[in-house]
Amino acid sequence: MISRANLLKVLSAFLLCGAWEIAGRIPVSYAFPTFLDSMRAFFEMIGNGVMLAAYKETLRPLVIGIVISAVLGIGLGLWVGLNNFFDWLFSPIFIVMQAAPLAALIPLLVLAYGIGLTSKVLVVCIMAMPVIVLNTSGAVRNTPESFKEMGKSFLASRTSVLLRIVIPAASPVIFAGLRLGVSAGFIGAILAELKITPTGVGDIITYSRSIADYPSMYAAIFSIILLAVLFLNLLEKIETILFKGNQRGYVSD
Amino acid sequence: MAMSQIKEDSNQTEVVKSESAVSVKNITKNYGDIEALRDMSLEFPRGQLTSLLGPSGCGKTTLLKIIAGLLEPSSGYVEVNGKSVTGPGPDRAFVFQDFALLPWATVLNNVAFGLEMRGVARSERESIAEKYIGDVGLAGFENSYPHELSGGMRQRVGLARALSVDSDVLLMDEPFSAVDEQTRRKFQEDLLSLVQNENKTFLFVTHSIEEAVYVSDQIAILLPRPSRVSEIIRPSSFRGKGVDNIRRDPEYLDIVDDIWSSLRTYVE
Repeated sequence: MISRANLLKVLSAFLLCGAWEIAGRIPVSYAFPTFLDSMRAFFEMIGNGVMLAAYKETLRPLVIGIVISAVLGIGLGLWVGLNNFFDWLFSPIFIVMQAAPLAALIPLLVLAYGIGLTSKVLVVCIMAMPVIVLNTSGAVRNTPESFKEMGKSFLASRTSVLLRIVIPAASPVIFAGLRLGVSAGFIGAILAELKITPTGVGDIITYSRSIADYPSMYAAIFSIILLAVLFLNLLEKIETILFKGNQRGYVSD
Repeated sequence: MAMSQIKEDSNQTEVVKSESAVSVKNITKNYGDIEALRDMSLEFPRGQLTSLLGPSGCGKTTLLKIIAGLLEPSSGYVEVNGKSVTGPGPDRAFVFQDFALLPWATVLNNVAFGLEMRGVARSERESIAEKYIGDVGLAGFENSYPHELSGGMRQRVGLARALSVDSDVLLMDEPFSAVDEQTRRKFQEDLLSLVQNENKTFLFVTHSIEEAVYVSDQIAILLPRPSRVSEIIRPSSFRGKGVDNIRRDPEYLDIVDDIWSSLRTYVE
């Protein structure tokens, strides 16, 4: 039995692919392939190992960057949110990072860190970290005062207040930040491969475009979106397991 | 008339002192230039329920939080069982106006929270929590979440949490103000039997005159700007007549009228 929510997800995916197919058949542009052609290229690349080899390249900066952003971002966010001094010190940096036109800054990064893994990881981090830090610190700062007072009056230590009250209370917004950050990290990983050195999935996109193999190009783009969606679903599962109550709504008054 | 109003004078304070569970001594609390409490002294007799009653802004919640150890007084001190208060302690438990239940935790875990923070082992704290959940009439709801309960039931959880840590003093900050009128009446009746059966001292903040007179052994009237204790009233005759008869007792009605006439000029 499929739940209503899952049915709607399938339906919306079906509508999107249908629209893609129609747009490809019109065609809206010579450079826009149909959905079915793209899927054929997609499975072909999986079959001959091109896709696997590409993701070996792409996943390295992506995974390293996202792990660093998540761990460091949540840590820094907690710190900034709990301490006014660090709020004053760090918040502006992340606000600037979030607003910066990253594509224009990539040459600077390459100048400083070369064309290797470091630069690519940095691009992922610059994309992913600000929203994680800002969401975490905002959520922590907005812990309801009465929860904290309740903890104190029932003799919770500072650590217990943090672990048992502040973090669970902030967890829905922290996870919302993680979801946004991870999506941005995926964009960053591809951006790095397009702008720094064409490797992995970025290479498939660049190369296929240069030889006008548009189905392969769109298959590569499709694959990265698919991966991002699967990863975001995984994140949601983790949230449900870690913080059971989040699923159940909140005391409204 | 059998009304026994005790205006504070030094003689009376001496008599009450030895039996006080909580003593407030010359508390002053300033927020910047604003004087929330000025030189307030008050005694809370052991085993009785004392209400803090006054118009909004008179500092009654501030005083309760100072007694709880959640706020620091600017000067003066609070003694609980003869010991000076420096912060929250195991001798006091708090019931919050907005319940302050953790929405991600079940009723059982919410009630057991205080015990958990005191380091009580899981099986033991759960059996204690279950007992008090039963006592407040919520048996069967142990695994529910707060959002699945009505307002009245949520405050019962808050009450069970405060009772489960078995403190001498129960601090209640307008505990019934967020529940509906009918539930509130039931709560008030339950509170009377709680005061009678549990050997605890209750400090009860309320803005309802009727509620204060109905549940209290002693009512401290607080007046604002700057906040001070204007009088202490001890209803004497109707407490033993049963919960159903209190509201039509002449003394009850007189005290309610009396308090209103002294408060009305302070209500904008």
